[in-house]
Amino acid sequence: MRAQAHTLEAVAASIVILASVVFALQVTAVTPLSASTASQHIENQQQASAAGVLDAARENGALDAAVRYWDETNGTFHGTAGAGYTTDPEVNRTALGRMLLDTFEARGVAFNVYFAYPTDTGTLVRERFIYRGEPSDNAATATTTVALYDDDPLYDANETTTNVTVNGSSTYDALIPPESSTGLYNAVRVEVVVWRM
Amino acid sequence: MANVSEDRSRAQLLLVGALALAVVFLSLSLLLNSVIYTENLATRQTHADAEKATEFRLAAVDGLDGAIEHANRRNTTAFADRRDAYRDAVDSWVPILANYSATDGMATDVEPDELHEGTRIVGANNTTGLVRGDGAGDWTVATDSKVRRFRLHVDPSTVGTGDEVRITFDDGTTRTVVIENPGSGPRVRIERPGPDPTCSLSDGRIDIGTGRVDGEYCPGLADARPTGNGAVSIANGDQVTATYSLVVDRHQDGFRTDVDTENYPTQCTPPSTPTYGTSSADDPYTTPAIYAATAEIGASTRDLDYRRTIRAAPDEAGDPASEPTFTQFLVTQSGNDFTVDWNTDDPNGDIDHVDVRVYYRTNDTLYASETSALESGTETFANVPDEAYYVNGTVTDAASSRRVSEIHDAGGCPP
Repeated sequence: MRAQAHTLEAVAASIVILASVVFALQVTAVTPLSASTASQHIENQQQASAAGVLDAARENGALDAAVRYWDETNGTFHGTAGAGYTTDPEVNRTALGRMLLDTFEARGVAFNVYFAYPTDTGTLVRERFIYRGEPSDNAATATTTVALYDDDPLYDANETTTNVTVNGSSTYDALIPPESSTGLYNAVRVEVVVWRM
Repeated sequence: MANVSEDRSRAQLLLVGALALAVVFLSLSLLLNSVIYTENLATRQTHADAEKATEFRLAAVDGLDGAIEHANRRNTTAFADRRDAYRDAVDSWVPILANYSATDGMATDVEPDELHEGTRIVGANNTTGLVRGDGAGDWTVATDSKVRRFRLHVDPSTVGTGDEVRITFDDGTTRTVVIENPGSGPRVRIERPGPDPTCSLSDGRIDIGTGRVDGEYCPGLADARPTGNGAVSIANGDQVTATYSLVVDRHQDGFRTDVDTENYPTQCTPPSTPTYGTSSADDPYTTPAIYAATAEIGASTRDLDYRRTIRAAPDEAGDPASEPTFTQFLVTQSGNDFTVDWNTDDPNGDIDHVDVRVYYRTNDTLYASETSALESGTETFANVPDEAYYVNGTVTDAASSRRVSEIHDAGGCPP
């Protein structure tokens, strides 16, 4: 009787010890460096990549060309009915779109591009330039600002300048309305939103 | 009794064991917590504010670039008009930029500072080529200048087989941009040490400032940009038709006479047909223009106070232009007396002295020389013998000098 009790106790004790070892092994936390689509570290990297693409695009003129890639007669961006570019061939039309695709598509990262301008009440209006879907909760955003002047020319479908200026255009104000009468047309905020698909 | 004491010691053992386990688990959770906190700190973007400030600086430089180009494109001959247009544009752009920055949690200000006056050269007539005022195609565009934003629009259909228009930049190193047609169609070739890169030309837009042909990056073209002070000359410019514009860092007054002396070495100043006209009806013409601009920018967030001076000079290559320039160099001749009035300016404000020298034109020997420590002044050379002379002004600052040369003849012009 005593021996049986001891045996049972030994078994129970070994189960307790085994369970605590298993518990200790399983107790690992999701830390910021744990591999995960929701990782802060990855968001930071994506944000930095997007900011880098914007800087490069500003330097090589792709940003200017994108903001003024406007079909004067139809009153839309070239080759779209409105609401921005969605498919790969459409995104590939502009140098900015090509740069973003080259940077992000192979890494499974989606991106949206918006142009924003201020209204008289101080709020921002966002227009879609490239729209690839609803961003996830873990999206990162990079922004930059482009100044438009009255005599800046619009770009044609091949991204070469035309003789129509932003102020001389009869339809460009549907995208960005003029803000001042001093030679400055408006200042556009370009926002790139990136997220892991 | 023995049994009772055995039970007690077992209970004590259980109690101590449970306590030990509790301490182990607590310390484990503490350890894990500190790991999470450390990794959180390690991945936190402490430089996010600095990144925002840098982005703001880039946007500010870009905005100033745009304002300079906007002001320079105006059809006017007065620098004051360009300056006002520039200030108006900047003044209306600053609040919008500040508004955007505020949404990012950053308070910003932009205070326009100085403007560096230069000269814009424009050949806007699309029925002529790269020619000077009298129509000659072999000529000097600029002497001893920093050149920025050199753009050409060549009509590709006029680039015939065998044509070879040469634009040469010489800032100590010579590089030549050649517009030619070897039979396979118009192209741009860059002559430099080593193999010559070529880029085909279909639309005709050559942007030497950004190194682009027809909007596409052309590998050797960006390297052809002069990075220092130098001369720009054109050969066979009459073989094609083209429009072009460029900006140099010298004041219009001294620049025009210096280029005229280079182009017309046998005529008195001013020559019968100057190299450049002065109104937009002439081809080509010069106007006073903004070469560069500086501004003070500031950005502050909760953790960061960022303040610096920015400088905008669109497409300038190399170091910022700091060479002095003559804002006036006027030689008045009355009989055999030469009176020279001069005024100078220097972007970095360290003019050392001004030399005015008169040379015999026939053998380049010195007739008379005056040195002045004043930034502006007058020198008179009286009773100069009947001969042809170069009247040269040289302004020297701590690191460099600039020269203006005129040709005058005490015996009557042309020499």
